[in-house]
Amino acid sequence: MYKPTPLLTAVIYGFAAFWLLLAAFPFLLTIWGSFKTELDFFGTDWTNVFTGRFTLEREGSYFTGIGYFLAWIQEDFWRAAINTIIITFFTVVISLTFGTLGGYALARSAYSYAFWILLIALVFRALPHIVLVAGYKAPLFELGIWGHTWITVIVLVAINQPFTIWMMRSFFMNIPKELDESALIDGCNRLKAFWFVIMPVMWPGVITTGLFSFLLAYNDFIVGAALLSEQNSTMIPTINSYLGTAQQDGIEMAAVAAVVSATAPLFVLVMVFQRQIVSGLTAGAVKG
Amino acid sequence: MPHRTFLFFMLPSAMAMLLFIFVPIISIIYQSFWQPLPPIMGEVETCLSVLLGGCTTSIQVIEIPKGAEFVGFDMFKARSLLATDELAAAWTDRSSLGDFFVNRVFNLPLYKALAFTLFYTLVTTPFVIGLGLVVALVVDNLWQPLKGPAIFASLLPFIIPPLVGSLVLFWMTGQGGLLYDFLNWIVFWEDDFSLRASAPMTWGLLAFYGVWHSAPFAFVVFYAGLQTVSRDQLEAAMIDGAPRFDRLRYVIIPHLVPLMTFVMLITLMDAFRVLEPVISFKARAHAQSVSTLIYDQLVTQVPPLYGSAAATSLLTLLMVGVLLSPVLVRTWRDFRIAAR
Repeated sequence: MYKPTPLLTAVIYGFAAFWLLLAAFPFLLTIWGSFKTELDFFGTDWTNVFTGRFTLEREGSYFTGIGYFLAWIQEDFWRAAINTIIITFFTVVISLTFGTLGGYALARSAYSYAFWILLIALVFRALPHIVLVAGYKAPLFELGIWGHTWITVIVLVAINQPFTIWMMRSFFMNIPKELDESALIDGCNRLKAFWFVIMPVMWPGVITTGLFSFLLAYNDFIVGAALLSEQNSTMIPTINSYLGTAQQDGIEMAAVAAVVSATAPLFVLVMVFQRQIVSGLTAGAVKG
Repeated sequence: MPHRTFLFFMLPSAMAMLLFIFVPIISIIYQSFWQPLPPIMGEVETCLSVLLGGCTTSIQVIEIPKGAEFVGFDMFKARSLLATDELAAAWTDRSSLGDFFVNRVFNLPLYKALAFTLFYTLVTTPFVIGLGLVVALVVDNLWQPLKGPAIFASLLPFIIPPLVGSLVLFWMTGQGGLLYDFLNWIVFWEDDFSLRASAPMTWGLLAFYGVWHSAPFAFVVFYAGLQTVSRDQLEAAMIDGAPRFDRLRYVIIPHLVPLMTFVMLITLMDAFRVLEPVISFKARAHAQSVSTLIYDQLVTQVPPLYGSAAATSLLTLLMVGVLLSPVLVRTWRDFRIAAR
């Protein structure tokens, strides 16, 4: 219908190629390089990453799993992976439960306090996370509950709430009021109307919001670094701790392997859910 | 919705925010005015067997007293924060206004951090919106089967943890790294053009990272917005003979303006809290952000400087309030109009 001129087509594809290279190449290089030795990946000549000169010399083949061995076996990276799974799972589930209830209330209330809650949530959303962490750390230490996994979960849920209620509210705004009103007339109470009538049409919104909650919890560095001890640390702070002790032989490759291991699930996640991200945003946030 | 039902639905979320966002804010206010009492030191005698040298005395912490002492604004006046005394001194023996700012003010930790943070925030935001818009328009015009993979690849820098994303870039900038060689090939007149060596280059690299990381978010929002552009309007514009550029200028862009405000707001908020890339790039010598300043006082320092961290946090909170005030005022005005 809107057929572009050949020149414009060339510009479009040229720019697309440039941008996609910029966006994806660093990751491809890191994934490829994680199967090489330190001398190849961090060496003085980047062509070695591709030719695998030192990997061949040292390990006898073009690829080596040494980085992964160091990370997962020697440095117990699996422990961090399990902690991340636990923290992310509970953060997402609790965030969505609280956020869905709150978002529904905010979308359906006509009183001015609903507006004030949204405005305050906006200010909370803007706060740097480290500011909140500064508020927790000393009191938690004093109370002797520093370093517990569940504290981190609650903190992440709270940090996540402002964004979650805003987003869920905009999804609920798109569902006509008449739908819950007719359910109420038919004899449902609010909770039943919410659960049996509204929720079945809300799943796209829940999935989109859930993805953003997932990213916040999974990608968190600050809260984990400040509030978790070494034993129950999550993946991202653990990767940072490898960098601090990078002088130790070969541990830099453990960091590279850990980086690839931590990002691989995200790749899969986006591949599976990218359609939902776009359609979810189209249906909800973008209109609200 | 009646008040009771509202409360029932809102309570879990409101409690979470009250206890873990509002109370911590009260906590930083308290911590920045009350300093914990210093530990009581004293002579401690440690006795080992005579063979190992008998008894020795040393000065150690005997007791960490409970409670805190009110210190007023002392924490805020310290050199690491507002540095009021240093500023006054610098003002009296300044040689010129430029010298005052460049050599004196921006050598003080908080002002230095503030300068970088504002630079980062104000430079990345417009580029994020611009690049995001261009990428969205380009991807939207690709051949249908290519769109899926293009969206996937475009989202990568955004979904990856910031610490990891910046590391991946950082590893390419070392001597002998791909990006290092590439830049040296472009800047052929310099012998050793390093992104890590000087403050301006570090700032530039961090800003580049910021755009690279956040542009995909702008892209995906704009792309979603493009899917809802009215086909009828576009067709009407075509029938009226509007060239492609005019259709973009008068139909598509106006449709996306509310989204641009949304993206701008989110990007400003996220850029202002920049922390991870400064850590990954090991850039603290040249660039310190407000967040890394607090991070260092809280996590890197042993024992942590809770008081300074809290005071810096409180100032940050006020700055966020100032940055956000135009939006808040506008939202409030819209609400008042809508309520009428």
